[in-house]
Amino acid sequence: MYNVYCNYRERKISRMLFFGFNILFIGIILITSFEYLSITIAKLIGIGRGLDALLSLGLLILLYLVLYLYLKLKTIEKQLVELVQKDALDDNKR
Amino acid sequence: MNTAVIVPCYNEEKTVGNIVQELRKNFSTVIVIDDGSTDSSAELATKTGAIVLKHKINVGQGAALQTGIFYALSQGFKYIATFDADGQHQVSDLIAMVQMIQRPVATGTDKDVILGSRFLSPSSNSIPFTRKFLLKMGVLFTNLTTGLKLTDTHNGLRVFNAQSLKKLRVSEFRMSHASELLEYIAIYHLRYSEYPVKITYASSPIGIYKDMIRVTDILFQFLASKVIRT
Repeated sequence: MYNVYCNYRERKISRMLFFGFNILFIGIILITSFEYLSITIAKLIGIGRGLDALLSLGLLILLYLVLYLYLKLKTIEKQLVELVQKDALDDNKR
Repeated sequence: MNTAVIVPCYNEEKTVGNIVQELRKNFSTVIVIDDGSTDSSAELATKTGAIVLKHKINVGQGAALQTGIFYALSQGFKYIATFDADGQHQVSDLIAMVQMIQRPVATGTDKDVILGSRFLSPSSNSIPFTRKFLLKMGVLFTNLTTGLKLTDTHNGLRVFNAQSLKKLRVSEFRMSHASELLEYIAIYHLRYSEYPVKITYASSPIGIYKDMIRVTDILFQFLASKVIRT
Protein backbone atom coordinates (compact mmCIF):
# COMPACT_ATOMS: atom_id res chain seq x y z
CA MET A 1 0.00 0.00 0.00
CA TYR A 2 2.89 2.29 0.76
CA ASN A 3 4.41 1.47 -2.64
CA VAL A 4 1.10 2.29 -4.35
CA TYR A 5 0.96 5.54 -2.41
CA CYS A 6 4.53 6.45 -3.48
CA ASN A 7 3.69 5.71 -7.12
CA TYR A 8 0.54 7.82 -6.85
CA ARG A 9 2.45 10.70 -5.25
CA GLU A 10 4.97 10.62 -8.08
CA ARG A 11 2.05 10.62 -10.56
CA LYS A 12 3.10 7.28 -12.00
CA ILE A 13 -0.36 5.82 -11.51
CA SER A 14 -3.78 7.41 -11.82
CA ARG A 15 -6.12 8.21 -8.92
CA MET A 16 -8.45 5.45 -10.10
CA LEU A 17 -5.68 2.85 -9.97
CA PHE A 18 -4.56 4.16 -6.55
CA PHE A 19 -8.04 3.70 -5.08
CA GLY A 20 -8.52 0.42 -6.94
CA PHE A 21 -5.35 -1.12 -5.49
CA ASN A 22 -6.12 0.20 -2.00
CA ILE A 23 -9.64 -1.20 -2.04
CA LEU A 24 -8.18 -4.55 -3.18
CA PHE A 25 -5.56 -4.57 -0.39
CA ILE A 26 -8.03 -3.47 2.28
CA GLY A 27 -10.40 -6.15 1.06
CA ILE A 28 -7.69 -8.82 1.36
CA ILE A 29 -6.82 -7.61 4.90
CA LEU A 30 -10.49 -7.70 5.95
CA ILE A 31 -11.15 -11.11 4.45
CA THR A 32 -8.06 -12.70 5.99
CA SER A 33 -8.78 -11.02 9.38
CA PHE A 34 -12.46 -11.92 9.55
CA GLU A 35 -12.83 -15.49 8.41
CA TYR A 36 -16.63 -15.45 8.31
CA LEU A 37 -16.46 -12.80 5.56
CA SER A 38 -14.55 -15.11 3.24
CA ILE A 39 -16.82 -18.03 4.10
CA THR A 40 -19.89 -15.91 3.27
CA ILE A 41 -18.36 -14.90 -0.06
CA ALA A 42 -17.32 -18.50 -0.75
CA LYS A 43 -20.87 -19.70 -0.12
CA LEU A 44 -22.21 -17.00 -2.41
CA ILE A 45 -19.85 -18.04 -5.21
CA GLY A 46 -20.27 -21.72 -4.47
CA ILE A 47 -16.64 -22.60 -3.70
CA GLY A 48 -16.05 -24.76 -0.61
CA ARG A 49 -13.53 -22.97 1.53
CA GLY A 50 -13.12 -19.24 1.95
CA LEU A 51 -9.45 -18.99 1.11
CA ASP A 52 -9.91 -21.20 -1.96
CA ALA A 53 -12.49 -18.77 -3.26
CA LEU A 54 -10.15 -15.88 -2.60
CA LEU A 55 -7.24 -17.58 -4.39
CA SER A 56 -9.42 -18.57 -7.33
CA LEU A 57 -10.68 -15.03 -7.68
CA GLY A 58 -7.13 -13.69 -7.37
CA LEU A 59 -5.97 -16.04 -10.09
CA LEU A 60 -8.77 -14.94 -12.39
CA ILE A 61 -7.95 -11.29 -11.80
CA LEU A 62 -4.27 -11.94 -12.49
CA LEU A 63 -5.06 -13.80 -15.70
CA TYR A 64 -7.26 -10.95 -16.83
CA LEU A 65 -4.49 -8.47 -16.01
CA VAL A 66 -1.92 -10.49 -18.00
CA LEU A 67 -4.25 -10.60 -20.99
CA TYR A 68 -5.03 -6.89 -20.66
CA LEU A 69 -1.35 -5.97 -20.49
CA TYR A 70 -0.48 -8.26 -23.40
CA LEU A 71 -3.14 -6.65 -25.57
CA LYS A 72 -2.04 -3.18 -24.54
CA LEU A 73 1.58 -4.05 -25.31
CA LYS A 74 0.72 -5.52 -28.72
CA THR A 75 -1.31 -2.44 -29.63
CA ILE A 76 1.52 -0.12 -28.62
CA GLU A 77 4.03 -2.28 -30.53
CA LYS A 78 1.85 -2.13 -33.64
CA GLN A 79 1.53 1.65 -33.42
CA LEU A 80 5.27 2.02 -32.85
CA VAL A 81 6.13 -0.20 -35.85
CA GLU A 82 3.74 1.73 -38.11
CA LEU A 83 5.39 4.97 -37.01
CA VAL A 84 8.91 3.62 -37.64
CA GLN A 85 7.86 2.32 -41.08
CA LYS A 86 6.23 5.62 -42.06
CA ASP A 87 9.30 7.51 -40.90
CA ALA A 88 11.63 5.27 -42.96
CA LEU A 89 9.50 5.69 -46.10
CA ASP A 90 9.11 9.46 -45.62
CA ASP A 91 12.87 9.86 -45.04
CA ASN A 92 13.50 8.20 -48.39
CA LYS A 93 11.11 10.56 -50.19
CA ARG A 94 13.02 13.64 -48.94
CA MET B 1 14.16 -3.17 -63.80
CA ASN B 2 11.11 -5.16 -62.85
CA THR B 3 12.46 -7.02 -59.81
CA ALA B 4 13.23 -5.48 -56.44
CA VAL B 5 15.33 -7.47 -53.98
CA ILE B 6 14.52 -6.68 -50.36
CA VAL B 7 17.27 -7.34 -47.83
CA PRO B 8 16.25 -6.83 -44.19
CA CYS B 9 19.34 -6.08 -42.17
CA TYR B 10 20.24 -5.74 -38.50
CA ASN B 11 23.90 -5.36 -37.52
CA GLU B 12 25.27 -7.28 -40.52
CA GLU B 13 28.29 -5.12 -41.39
CA LYS B 14 30.42 -8.22 -41.97
CA THR B 15 28.25 -9.52 -44.80
CA VAL B 16 25.86 -6.88 -46.11
CA GLY B 17 28.40 -5.04 -48.31
CA ASN B 18 29.40 -8.19 -50.23
CA ILE B 19 25.81 -9.34 -50.54
CA VAL B 20 24.64 -6.03 -52.02
CA GLN B 21 27.61 -6.05 -54.43
CA GLU B 22 26.80 -9.58 -55.60
CA LEU B 23 23.10 -8.81 -55.94
CA ARG B 24 23.75 -5.58 -57.82
CA LYS B 25 25.62 -7.52 -60.52
CA ASN B 26 22.33 -9.16 -61.45
CA PHE B 27 19.57 -6.91 -60.09
CA SER B 28 19.42 -3.17 -60.60
CA THR B 29 17.34 -2.53 -57.48
CA VAL B 30 18.44 -3.81 -54.10
CA ILE B 31 16.52 -2.36 -51.15
CA VAL B 32 18.21 -2.76 -47.79
CA ILE B 33 16.00 -2.12 -44.78
CA ASP B 34 18.32 -1.21 -41.96
CA ASP B 35 16.35 -2.24 -38.89
CA GLY B 36 17.97 0.04 -36.32
CA SER B 37 21.52 -1.29 -36.71
CA THR B 38 24.11 0.13 -34.36
CA ASP B 39 27.03 -0.79 -36.62
CA SER B 40 27.96 0.48 -40.10
CA SER B 41 25.58 -1.81 -42.04
CA ALA B 42 23.58 1.09 -43.51
CA GLU B 43 26.67 3.00 -44.67
CA LEU B 44 28.15 -0.12 -46.30
CA ALA B 45 24.89 -0.90 -48.07
CA THR B 46 24.62 2.68 -49.36
CA LYS B 47 28.25 2.64 -50.55
CA THR B 48 27.71 -0.56 -52.51
CA GLY B 49 24.70 0.86 -54.34
CA ALA B 50 21.63 -0.25 -52.42
CA ILE B 51 18.59 1.89 -51.70
CA VAL B 52 18.63 2.06 -47.92
CA LEU B 53 15.51 2.62 -45.84
CA LYS B 54 16.34 3.17 -42.19
CA HIS B 55 14.25 2.14 -39.21
CA LYS B 56 15.20 4.47 -36.37
CA ILE B 57 14.88 1.62 -33.86
CA ASN B 58 14.98 -2.18 -34.12
CA VAL B 59 11.42 -3.43 -34.62
CA GLY B 60 12.02 -6.84 -36.17
CA GLN B 61 12.60 -8.61 -39.46
CA GLY B 62 8.90 -8.92 -40.26
CA ALA B 63 8.42 -5.17 -39.93
CA ALA B 64 11.52 -4.55 -42.06
CA LEU B 65 10.18 -6.80 -44.81
CA GLN B 66 6.84 -4.98 -44.76
CA THR B 67 8.61 -1.61 -45.10
CA GLY B 68 10.51 -2.95 -48.10
CA ILE B 69 7.32 -4.35 -49.63
CA PHE B 70 5.51 -1.00 -49.19
CA TYR B 71 8.41 0.76 -50.92
CA ALA B 72 8.71 -1.74 -53.78
CA LEU B 73 4.95 -1.61 -54.41
CA SER B 74 4.99 2.19 -54.45
CA GLN B 75 7.74 2.08 -57.11
CA GLY B 76 5.73 -0.23 -59.33
CA PHE B 77 7.98 -3.28 -59.39
CA LYS B 78 6.49 -6.37 -60.95
CA TYR B 79 8.34 -8.90 -58.82
CA ILE B 80 9.56 -8.68 -55.24
CA ALA B 81 12.26 -10.96 -53.83
CA THR B 82 13.41 -11.34 -50.24
CA PHE B 83 17.01 -12.22 -49.39
CA ASP B 84 18.72 -12.52 -45.98
CA ALA B 85 21.62 -10.25 -45.10
CA ASP B 86 23.63 -12.80 -43.13
CA GLY B 87 25.23 -14.55 -46.09
CA GLN B 88 23.17 -17.76 -45.89
CA HIS B 89 21.74 -17.50 -49.39
CA GLN B 90 23.28 -17.85 -52.85
CA VAL B 91 22.61 -15.17 -55.45
CA SER B 92 22.60 -17.89 -58.16
CA ASP B 93 19.56 -19.49 -56.46
CA LEU B 94 17.72 -16.17 -56.48
CA ILE B 95 18.47 -15.64 -60.18
CA ALA B 96 17.01 -19.06 -61.00
CA MET B 97 13.92 -18.38 -58.86
CA VAL B 98 13.31 -15.01 -60.54
CA GLN B 99 13.63 -16.67 -63.96
CA MET B 100 11.15 -19.30 -62.86
CA ILE B 101 8.49 -16.72 -61.93
CA GLN B 102 9.23 -14.40 -64.87
CA ARG B 103 9.18 -17.05 -67.58
CA PRO B 104 6.30 -19.34 -66.77
CA VAL B 105 6.16 -20.86 -70.26
CA ALA B 106 9.86 -21.61 -70.55
CA THR B 107 10.07 -23.08 -67.06
CA GLY B 108 6.69 -24.77 -67.17
CA THR B 109 5.46 -22.99 -64.03
CA ASP B 110 2.97 -20.16 -63.66
CA LYS B 111 3.14 -19.14 -60.03
CA ASP B 112 2.53 -16.18 -57.74
CA VAL B 113 5.24 -17.20 -55.31
CA ILE B 114 8.47 -19.19 -55.53
CA LEU B 115 9.75 -20.33 -52.15
CA GLY B 116 13.28 -21.50 -51.50
CA SER B 117 13.60 -24.96 -49.97
CA ARG B 118 16.83 -26.22 -48.45
CA PHE B 119 15.45 -29.75 -48.18
CA LEU B 120 15.02 -30.14 -51.93
CA SER B 121 18.70 -29.49 -52.42
CA PRO B 122 21.31 -32.31 -52.18
CA SER B 123 23.25 -30.07 -49.80
CA SER B 124 20.55 -30.66 -47.17
CA ASN B 125 22.51 -33.75 -46.09
CA SER B 126 25.04 -31.47 -44.48
CA ILE B 127 22.49 -29.79 -42.18
CA PRO B 128 23.22 -30.74 -38.55
CA PHE B 129 20.76 -33.33 -37.20
CA THR B 130 19.24 -31.24 -34.39
CA ARG B 131 18.73 -28.27 -36.68
CA LYS B 132 17.21 -30.53 -39.32
CA PHE B 133 14.86 -32.05 -36.71
CA LEU B 134 13.69 -28.63 -35.49
CA LEU B 135 13.14 -27.43 -39.05
CA LYS B 136 11.22 -30.57 -39.99
CA MET B 137 8.98 -30.14 -36.95
CA GLY B 138 8.34 -26.58 -38.12
CA VAL B 139 7.45 -27.85 -41.59
CA LEU B 140 5.03 -30.41 -40.13
CA PHE B 141 3.39 -27.77 -37.94
CA THR B 142 3.08 -25.30 -40.83
CA ASN B 143 1.64 -27.89 -43.21
CA LEU B 144 -0.92 -28.93 -40.59
CA THR B 145 -2.00 -25.38 -39.73
CA THR B 146 -2.03 -23.89 -43.25
CA GLY B 147 -2.93 -26.85 -45.44
CA LEU B 148 0.06 -26.09 -47.70
CA LYS B 149 2.37 -28.87 -48.82
CA LEU B 150 5.84 -27.52 -48.19
CA THR B 151 9.22 -29.11 -47.59
CA ASP B 152 10.73 -26.07 -45.85
CA THR B 153 9.54 -23.13 -43.76
CA HIS B 154 11.31 -20.07 -42.40
CA ASN B 155 13.47 -19.80 -45.47
CA GLY B 156 14.15 -16.14 -46.22
CA LEU B 157 14.66 -16.68 -49.95
CA ARG B 158 11.37 -15.98 -51.75
CA VAL B 159 10.13 -14.37 -54.94
CA PHE B 160 6.63 -12.91 -55.19
CA ASN B 161 4.55 -11.55 -57.97
CA ALA B 162 4.11 -7.99 -56.60
CA GLN B 163 0.35 -7.99 -57.25
CA SER B 164 -0.04 -10.90 -54.86
CA LEU B 165 1.47 -8.88 -52.00
CA LYS B 166 -0.87 -5.90 -52.18
CA LYS B 167 -3.10 -7.15 -49.39
CA LEU B 168 -0.26 -8.25 -47.14
CA ARG B 169 0.09 -6.48 -43.78
CA VAL B 170 2.66 -8.25 -41.64
CA SER B 171 1.48 -8.15 -38.04
CA GLU B 172 4.09 -10.53 -36.64
CA PHE B 173 7.02 -8.17 -36.54
CA ARG B 174 9.62 -10.58 -35.18
CA MET B 175 10.66 -13.96 -36.53
CA SER B 176 7.20 -15.53 -36.74
CA HIS B 177 6.44 -13.33 -39.76
CA ALA B 178 7.63 -16.26 -41.91
CA SER B 179 4.69 -18.37 -40.68
CA GLU B 180 2.37 -15.41 -41.28
CA LEU B 181 3.59 -15.13 -44.88
CA LEU B 182 2.84 -18.80 -45.49
CA GLU B 183 -0.57 -18.37 -43.90
CA TYR B 184 -1.17 -15.44 -46.28
CA ILE B 185 -0.30 -17.69 -49.23
CA ALA B 186 -2.83 -20.24 -48.00
CA ILE B 187 -5.62 -17.73 -47.27
CA TYR B 188 -5.37 -15.98 -50.65
CA HIS B 189 -4.84 -19.26 -52.52
CA LEU B 190 -1.64 -18.01 -54.11
CA ARG B 191 -0.09 -20.40 -56.61
CA TYR B 192 3.22 -21.46 -55.13
CA SER B 193 6.16 -23.64 -55.95
CA GLU B 194 9.39 -24.53 -54.20
CA TYR B 195 12.90 -24.31 -55.59
CA PRO B 196 15.93 -26.16 -54.19
CA VAL B 197 18.34 -23.71 -52.57
CA LYS B 198 21.64 -24.06 -50.77
CA ILE B 199 21.96 -22.56 -47.32
CA THR B 200 25.37 -21.80 -45.85
CA TYR B 201 25.32 -22.03 -42.07
CA ALA B 202 27.66 -20.08 -39.83
CA SER B 203 29.57 -22.67 -37.81
CA SER B 204 28.76 -21.57 -34.31
CA PRO B 205 28.74 -23.99 -31.37
CA ILE B 206 25.90 -22.06 -29.74
CA GLY B 207 23.94 -22.01 -32.99
CA ILE B 208 21.79 -24.96 -32.09
CA TYR B 209 20.75 -23.48 -28.73
CA LYS B 210 19.93 -20.24 -30.50
CA ASP B 211 17.82 -22.28 -32.93
CA MET B 212 15.91 -23.95 -30.10
CA ILE B 213 15.19 -20.64 -28.38
CA ARG B 214 14.19 -19.18 -31.74
CA VAL B 215 11.83 -22.05 -32.52
CA THR B 216 10.19 -21.78 -29.09
CA ASP B 217 9.84 -18.03 -29.51
CA ILE B 218 8.37 -18.37 -33.00
CA LEU B 219 5.94 -21.04 -31.81
CA PHE B 220 4.78 -18.91 -28.87
CA GLN B 221 4.33 -15.82 -31.00
CA PHE B 222 2.47 -17.79 -33.65
CA LEU B 223 0.13 -19.42 -31.12
CA ALA B 224 -0.43 -16.10 -29.34
CA SER B 225 -1.34 -14.48 -32.65
CA LYS B 226 -3.88 -17.24 -33.24
CA VAL B 227 -5.57 -16.56 -29.89
CA ILE B 228 -5.31 -12.80 -29.80
CA ARG B 229 -5.64 -10.49 -32.78
CA THR B 230 -4.79 -6.84 -32.13
